[in-house]
Amino acid sequence: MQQTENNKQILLVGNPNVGKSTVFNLLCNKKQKTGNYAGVTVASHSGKYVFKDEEFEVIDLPGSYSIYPTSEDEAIFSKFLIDEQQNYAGVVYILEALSIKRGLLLFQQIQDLGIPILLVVNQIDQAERRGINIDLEGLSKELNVRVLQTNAKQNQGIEELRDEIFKNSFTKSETVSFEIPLEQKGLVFKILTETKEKNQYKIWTLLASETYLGKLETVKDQMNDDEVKCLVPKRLQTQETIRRYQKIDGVISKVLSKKPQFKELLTEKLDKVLVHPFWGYVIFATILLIIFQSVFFLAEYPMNWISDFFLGLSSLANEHLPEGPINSLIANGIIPGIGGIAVFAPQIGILLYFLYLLEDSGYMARVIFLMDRFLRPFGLNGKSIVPLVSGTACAIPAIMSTRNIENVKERLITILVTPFMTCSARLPVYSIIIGLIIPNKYFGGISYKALALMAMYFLGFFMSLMASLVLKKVIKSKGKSFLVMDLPSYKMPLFGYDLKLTLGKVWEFITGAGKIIFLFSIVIWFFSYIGPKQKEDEIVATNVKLEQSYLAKMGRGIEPAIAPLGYDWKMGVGILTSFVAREVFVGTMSTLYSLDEEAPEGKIIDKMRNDTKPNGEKVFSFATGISILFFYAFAMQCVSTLAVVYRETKSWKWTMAQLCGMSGLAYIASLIVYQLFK
Amino acid sequence: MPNKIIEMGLLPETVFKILYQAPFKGPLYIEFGDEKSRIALREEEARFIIVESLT
Repeated sequence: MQQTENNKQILLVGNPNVGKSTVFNLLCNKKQKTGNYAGVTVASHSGKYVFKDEEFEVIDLPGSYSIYPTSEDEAIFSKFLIDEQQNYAGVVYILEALSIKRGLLLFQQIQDLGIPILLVVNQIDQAERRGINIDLEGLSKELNVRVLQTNAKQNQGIEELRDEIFKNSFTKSETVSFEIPLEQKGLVFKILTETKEKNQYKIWTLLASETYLGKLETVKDQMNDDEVKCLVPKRLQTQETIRRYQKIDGVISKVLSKKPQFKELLTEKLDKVLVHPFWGYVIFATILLIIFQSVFFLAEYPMNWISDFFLGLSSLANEHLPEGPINSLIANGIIPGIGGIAVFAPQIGILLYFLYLLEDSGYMARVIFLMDRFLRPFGLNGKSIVPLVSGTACAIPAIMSTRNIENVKERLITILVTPFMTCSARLPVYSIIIGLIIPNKYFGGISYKALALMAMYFLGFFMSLMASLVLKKVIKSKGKSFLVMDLPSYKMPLFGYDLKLTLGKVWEFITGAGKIIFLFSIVIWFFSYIGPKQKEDEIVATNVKLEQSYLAKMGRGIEPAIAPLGYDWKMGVGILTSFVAREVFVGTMSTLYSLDEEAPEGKIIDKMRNDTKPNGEKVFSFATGISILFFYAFAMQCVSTLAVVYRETKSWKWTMAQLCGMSGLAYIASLIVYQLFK
Repeated sequence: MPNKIIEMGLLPETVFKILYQAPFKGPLYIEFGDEKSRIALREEEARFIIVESLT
């Protein structure tokens, strides 16, 4: 094996739901990050840790059941595993003691490919509690691999794991455990001799795989036409799987002993209710309701603190900075702008935290089970419910999570419609507009404002379904759709770990949006500061009244297009700037109203409320407000989302279609709504 | 036939039990094998499994 300079990289591999992320989290206490790296678009985690003065990098790959991929996730996993062999030292394979049999399939496939590997059996205590005893030494002998034990939840075995990695205890198998079936034996050996490849299993995988494992083309010249015609890759895979399991059964019978019956009591009891044809749905709806209620009410206190903090900061800046435009920019533009986003951190955080906990506990799989039947008529898969629900926090991780949807068309539709779900970036806009136009009345204990917000959430969901329906007819069907999904045992979610993930994402959101707002505050301020020249010897006029600035000119420029929607030039500027990111609207409005000396005093919302047109009418009338709500509900106003859509679909056509389709829909909907209500 | 069914361990000669089905002919929730694995699969996927009842 070629040793490269930087060969302290190891891969974490295993079935989904075996506790890989727990092990990963414990191993890499030093630095972790999620997302892209090293030119490979893997939405997984990479982290580092230091042991005996050396630095090790751990890459946590998506979970998989077999080397033959059925979804994008699994394809990425297999490709990385095979293509990057020069770059990593070995694979740490994680098995859960309760599902050893299933986990050994992929283990043996990787071992047979000659990849250095180390086996970790996790949660042995769970097995022992059920009367199952595993002979680890025997397992090690049978499989010819170093076996370690961990109890990740109790942080046991991790230091030993680091030690073994340090000692490079990976074994590279010289033999292949899989016996090539008789029908293909001749062919495999023929190719073996002609290509000088030493590993028969590698040849087999070329014949048995359809796409990602290296193509049939590389060996096709060694085969004659009849042989190629007879080959049905899927059948070869099935044969392999069945044979491997037979062997695995043999290994397990030697190594595992158990008392006859064990029952997964907790999971059984919970599922009776959670998957019930009536109560299951009621409970799901209730859980959603609880989440949204918490988001809006629990978050209220921290939101007020944050709001007050920024208001205070703003007046501090106003007092202590020297008079002039910079003072205004910072005190009235940048600070309130960023404050306008930071104030939503509690809401986003609470929502995300709930979603992580639900996923972690295993409940989301039941939700998928319940929703599959209802999503299918729209061209979606039960698995689409996860991106749709998490899209209420942010579409970006939601779209990345579509990688577990096997069918290409279902995945594409899910990616294209997820942005219709009401994401947290829309909340600042909705909040302000609803605050402006909805009266303070109550209906059966719930405020009109809360109802209005709920209505916006329903609107987003409704539109995502309608759009799916349309796309279902428009996109060509390719390949089979299927569900076949593991239903993991319920487990206590990792509250601390999930909290860490949540805080990380919230921080990312704020700093990401914060950077954009900071930039735009400056840009807007600049264009509001200069205007067309008023005197002969100028290029541009400076320190002009807002009404005479270039900014106003731009806004007025698009006014004819947006007047039928009920917007004035200030809103026009707001919409233009929000095409980068929705939440920029609030920052823009803040800046605009702060710069306008003729605008009324006070908080931004009061300024907007009291702003009147020359004829005395309110600028933010009911009709205009509703129009803005609809516009923001449907328009694609997020550069980051577009970037992710492009990356995931690898298609300019669909990315542009999404941009134009959503924006066009937004324009028409706002137009109709304004004309109806004015 | 979805290979995934076999990859997840639902092999020929395996004993399994249907625990639940989602309403309106939704997916089936089945439990199988020594390890009591649990999977969800749609009716049309389940049709590929030839069944011998054990009573």
